[in-house]
Amino acid sequence: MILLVPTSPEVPRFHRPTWGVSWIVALLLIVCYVQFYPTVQADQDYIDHFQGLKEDGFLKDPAAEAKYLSERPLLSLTISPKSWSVERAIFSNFIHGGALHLILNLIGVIAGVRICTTFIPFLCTFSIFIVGGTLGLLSSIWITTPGVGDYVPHLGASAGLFALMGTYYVYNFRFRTSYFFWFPSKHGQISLKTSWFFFLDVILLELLLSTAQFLPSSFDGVDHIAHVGGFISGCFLALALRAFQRWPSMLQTRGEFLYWTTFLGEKLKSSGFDPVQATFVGWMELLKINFFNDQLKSKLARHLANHSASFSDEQIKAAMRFFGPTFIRLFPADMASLIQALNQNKQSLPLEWLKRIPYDNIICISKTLATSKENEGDILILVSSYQRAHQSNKRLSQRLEVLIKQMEKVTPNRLQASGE
Amino acid sequence: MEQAPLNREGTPSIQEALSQAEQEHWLERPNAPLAIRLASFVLDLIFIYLFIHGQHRLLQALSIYSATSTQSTLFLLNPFFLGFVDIFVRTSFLFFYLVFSVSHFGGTLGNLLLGLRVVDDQSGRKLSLARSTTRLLFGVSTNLLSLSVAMSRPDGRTLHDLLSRTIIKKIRGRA
Repeated sequence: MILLVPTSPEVPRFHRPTWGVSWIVALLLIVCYVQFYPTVQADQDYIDHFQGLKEDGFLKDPAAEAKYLSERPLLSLTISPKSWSVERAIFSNFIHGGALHLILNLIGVIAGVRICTTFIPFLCTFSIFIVGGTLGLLSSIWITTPGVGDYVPHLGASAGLFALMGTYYVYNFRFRTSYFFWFPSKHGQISLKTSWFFFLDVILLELLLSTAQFLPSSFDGVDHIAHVGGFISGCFLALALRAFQRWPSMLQTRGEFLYWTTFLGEKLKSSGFDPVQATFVGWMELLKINFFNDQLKSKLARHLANHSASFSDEQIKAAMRFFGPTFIRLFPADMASLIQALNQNKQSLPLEWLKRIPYDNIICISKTLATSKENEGDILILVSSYQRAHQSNKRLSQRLEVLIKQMEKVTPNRLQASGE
Repeated sequence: MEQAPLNREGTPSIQEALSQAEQEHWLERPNAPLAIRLASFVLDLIFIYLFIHGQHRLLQALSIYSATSTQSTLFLLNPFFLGFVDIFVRTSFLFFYLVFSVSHFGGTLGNLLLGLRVVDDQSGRKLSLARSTTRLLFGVSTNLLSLSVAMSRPDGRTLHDLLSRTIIKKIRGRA
């Protein structure tokens, strides 16, 4: 069960996944279902006949039962613990045991293929679906307790679907995912860190349920071990693909990666060979493509903090346009370092940025700065600058005035020493 | 609005002054709309169900293994002991999720995900463990009545909020 439905990585609209290519895989699954429906039906009849024979006492010993089951029709297309081959393992990804099984997997596969094509091409996505799904199914039959369902077919696209989820997890581990919360409200979208929430939402329950599958009597007919195996396989395949692509860890989307590999070099040449300016230009260009990329913003903030004297007010103003409320909330230490560096170089914070940022962000940055007594002067400067930017808001101004007075009682000596 | 310093014996430190400013800011934030509170409640129910169901299935599986295994099993897999573990884990989890997290973090996981905070209605501070427990007990004992009170009030406060003198604020998003 998925608590919240992952709809997209947290990316700009023009990077959001599209529906186009996922219908190709869906169509393939539907065609295979229709084509092999007679085999599935024949298998069902075969099992019904087997139950009848068992009840009538014609199959008296386990060896006779096993021999009968080993010849069931579905095993010519799919795999089981005692009857498998690599070709049938691959083919099992496209076979489904019923209409409901197919529909549920179709929904997942359409969503999975759609979401993965945000960062990798369709052929890579499809390959991971096949290879990861096959490995997931094979892991399930290899790990299953012997004697339990030796000739029960393991089939379906869900292992491949979980392989796609594993791929998404690896590529978006450090970023956030937008989830649709099915509660009917305009606040139906929430963005949460992929690293922990996606894991909780997609795989943690599967891990718990797969433990039950090791026991003699399984609780449901779902192959949870194949799901977990598919997810792990997808993760490893994604890591291998990233290593092959030499994908930098701070890039999120395919657009950024293509720009990084193809166009960024020319742009950096035109900015001269100054590494400080070249790095600044590079991060700014990539952020124009994906302004949700918090990893890039963090790198930019740290770069500005380390070399603030090398940048003009206009450059700082342009960079700080990217540091919004969510980034400040998640990376207060980077913002605190930047503000400290700007204060040290007597550079003022951009007025437009101060006007845009909510009060709780200022408190958040101040609390981070307040961990060291040496930064108390910086807090005072930050809060005073914020008050000057919000002079038209009398209520806020009064609250800030009270806060400044309280802080001035603590830091008068330090302010005098710094010449304020 | 006059603000009394947190450290009444002397000048508050910068950390204290900032904490006080943050609490005042939370008080100024709008009250959480009932729809968002209901959404948060549904999320919490899902998380609680998943944890309890998952750990119950796990312990049930271990219990079946212990009962059906022909080999001698560890005492830790004894069904009686597992039953005790089941109750202990559930109780601890519910305490941590519904009481401790409200006191320590300002809300349950559902609250935090949707940008809500449970605070004292006068000072804006987070609740102590005792007040968080009291609030939960009020909530459990009043439930549907609590909801109908919230629907009839302009500020959307439930009966257990009024009894425990707390309020839920929406701290993220536009005021």
